[in-house]
Amino acid sequence: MLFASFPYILAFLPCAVIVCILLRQLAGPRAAQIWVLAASIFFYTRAGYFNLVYLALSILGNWLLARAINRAEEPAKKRMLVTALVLNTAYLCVFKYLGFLASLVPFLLPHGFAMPEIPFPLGISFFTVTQIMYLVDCYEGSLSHGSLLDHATFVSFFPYVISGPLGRAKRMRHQFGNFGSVDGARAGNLARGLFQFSMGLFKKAVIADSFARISTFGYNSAKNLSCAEAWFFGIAYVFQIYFDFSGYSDMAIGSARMLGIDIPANFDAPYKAKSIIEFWQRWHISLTSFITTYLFTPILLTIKSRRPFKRDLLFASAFATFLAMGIAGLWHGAAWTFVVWGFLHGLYLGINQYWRRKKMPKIPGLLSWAITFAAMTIAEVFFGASSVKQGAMQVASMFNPHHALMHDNISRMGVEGVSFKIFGVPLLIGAIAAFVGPSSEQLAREFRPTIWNCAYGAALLLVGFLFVNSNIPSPFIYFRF
Amino acid sequence: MSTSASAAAPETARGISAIQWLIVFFGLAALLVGINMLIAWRMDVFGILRDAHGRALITSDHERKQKYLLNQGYVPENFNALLIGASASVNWYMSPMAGYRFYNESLEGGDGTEERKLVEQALPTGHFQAAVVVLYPRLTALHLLQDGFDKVKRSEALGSLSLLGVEYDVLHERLTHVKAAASPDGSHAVPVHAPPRPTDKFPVWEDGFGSDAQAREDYRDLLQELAAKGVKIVYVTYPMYEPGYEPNKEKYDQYLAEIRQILPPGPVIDFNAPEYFSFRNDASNYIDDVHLSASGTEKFSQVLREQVATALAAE
Repeated sequence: MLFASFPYILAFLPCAVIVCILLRQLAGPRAAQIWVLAASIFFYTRAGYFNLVYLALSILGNWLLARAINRAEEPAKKRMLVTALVLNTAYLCVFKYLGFLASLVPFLLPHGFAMPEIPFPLGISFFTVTQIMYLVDCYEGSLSHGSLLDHATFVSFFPYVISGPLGRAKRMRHQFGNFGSVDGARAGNLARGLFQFSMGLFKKAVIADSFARISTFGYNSAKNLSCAEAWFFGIAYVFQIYFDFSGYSDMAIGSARMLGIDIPANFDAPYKAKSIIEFWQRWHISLTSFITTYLFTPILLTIKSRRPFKRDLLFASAFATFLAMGIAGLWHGAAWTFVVWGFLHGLYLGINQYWRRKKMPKIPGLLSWAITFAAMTIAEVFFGASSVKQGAMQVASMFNPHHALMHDNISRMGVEGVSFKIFGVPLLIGAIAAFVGPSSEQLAREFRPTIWNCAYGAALLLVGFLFVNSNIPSPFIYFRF
Repeated sequence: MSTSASAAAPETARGISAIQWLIVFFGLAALLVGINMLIAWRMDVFGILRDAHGRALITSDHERKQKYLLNQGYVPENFNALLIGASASVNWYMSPMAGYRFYNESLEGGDGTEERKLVEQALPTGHFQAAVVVLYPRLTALHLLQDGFDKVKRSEALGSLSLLGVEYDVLHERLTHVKAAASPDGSHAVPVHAPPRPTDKFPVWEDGFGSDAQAREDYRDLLQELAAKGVKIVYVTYPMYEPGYEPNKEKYDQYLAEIRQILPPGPVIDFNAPEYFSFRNDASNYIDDVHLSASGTEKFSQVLREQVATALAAE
């Protein structure tokens, strides 16, 4: 069930929220929580019942492991954590990377051997990562393993189970008493959630899917791109992925708020960033937090006392960043395009760190922004490409001066169904919104109920409905992860 | 005060309480949806919300979806003959013709599979007597369902981009008295474009040349369905611009021979025959090697009507 669909907006979500509120009034917060868990399971199984088996196994297994970790003493406790992390990584690898890993060592496999095709459980990347954080928090003593009900509710919570934002148990569990709470002060959460959901729907269904028309044409139909066209289609994809994922995140956060739960913000106007470090502080914030805490820091701690990093902490830090981003790239999907994307970002971050620490000349604001945006666009081309070759060809075109301003492919778009008359306004709104004015995250943060934002939210919802009913929406990009 | 708490209480002159906000939000959303649906019902540009008989409905940018919905009520209610073709015939107009009211089912970049899907919407309730069918390699070269054509919903008539596009064009025509590009008979004018130049080179067509098995099967099945319902079928070939026709003549003739073997029988009007040479050799009649200019369409449609009327009378 997609967030940007009528079954979710007009049936599932209202039903989940209304029953949750009523149950809280009639039977207390625990009943409301059980209802949310049931709704989450229903939501999750809409994509296939087999998904639930894998999710349930993961939830139960991790809860038992966390309980064992909580009860154990060192050094057994650490061994248990390592075992739990290995098991989670293996669980993810079996479903996501088996084919990819086998393709790396075909010479080791028997002749004619084909990897079995295992169905890919929806959201496995996300629920595995959230539980890795949960296990580490339990090991460090900052969190108890809790009840199975709490853990199952935390992991399977429908607003984020499929595509994030990545929630942390210690930030989520204490809120479970708020499920269905609309009394007094918390009534504002319902309004704020609805407002943010409307903005998210507009961003996803109207803006992202309009850009998707262009970027899809660019990747699939465009031939012999000129320099201008390569940038044009690259930037279209950059806008698509931002509005797609941040729109999804807004809908997820808005849905959770309507149930009385605050989940962490995931975006903060990333395309206003003037450095790649700043970009990552604003882009997929929950993933950045995970990479920093659970990948970068352990890698740095491991390598900094070893050669050749021993005497140069900056080099060690840059290398750890590079490696952590490569792993983060692979986390997105079992393809070299994601690995290239991750390493490119790792390289950018390493250069950015070096520039800062060595106190190199400060680059003027506008130029700094342009360099950041251009570098990020180049990396994103690989993220959206179907192969490294396709991405490399588009990036090569970006720097090809021959017929640099030719626009035959852009002209052909109109003939082949990508009409600027229809999509022009959403594209313009998107391009402006990405760079100027407050972001939806900021608007939601500073939300105060007024007639104006009420009218604004209702209008966004209606326009979103029009686009949803026009069969334009494409699947969320992050669903495949 | 917490953020949630402050959100609940009015703070400024324009501020309202969260409960008031929710009431106004849902009221406003319902009002906007209601107004939109009322306009949709009143204008009913696809002819499926009210009786479509006797009305004149046009298409807009989302030609495929709109023709799909128009075929569910408007076309069978108001027309008894069909013109089935692709982009090169979208601007042909067949009316007036004694006894026959033709609807132009041609789609921009259309193919046999799309034409089948489109016409089959009208067949259950339509009473069609004649069909002019274009023989053109493009129609059987691929089987794409483009522009969301594979998942059109009737609910789009209540609120969608397709709906807004047509409503805008209809209102624009009424308010400015500037005639819309599309006509109620399904045809629409092509944009003004310079004619081909004598120096233009027209290559040999590649890309399958009508060889897509699925598209061929769909086109054949559609025409067999029409023939089974007693519809008189008249085939026509596109009058191709002579410098573009010449390098493709051999393959084109071979294609016609092949495709006719699998299609139901019927007379063929060959506009690539020598008697139409002067028309085909006049660049002012074309905007490229197959698409006719406005003046070319005017001249050609006249001839087409005469030839089709003669062929149908002889059937």
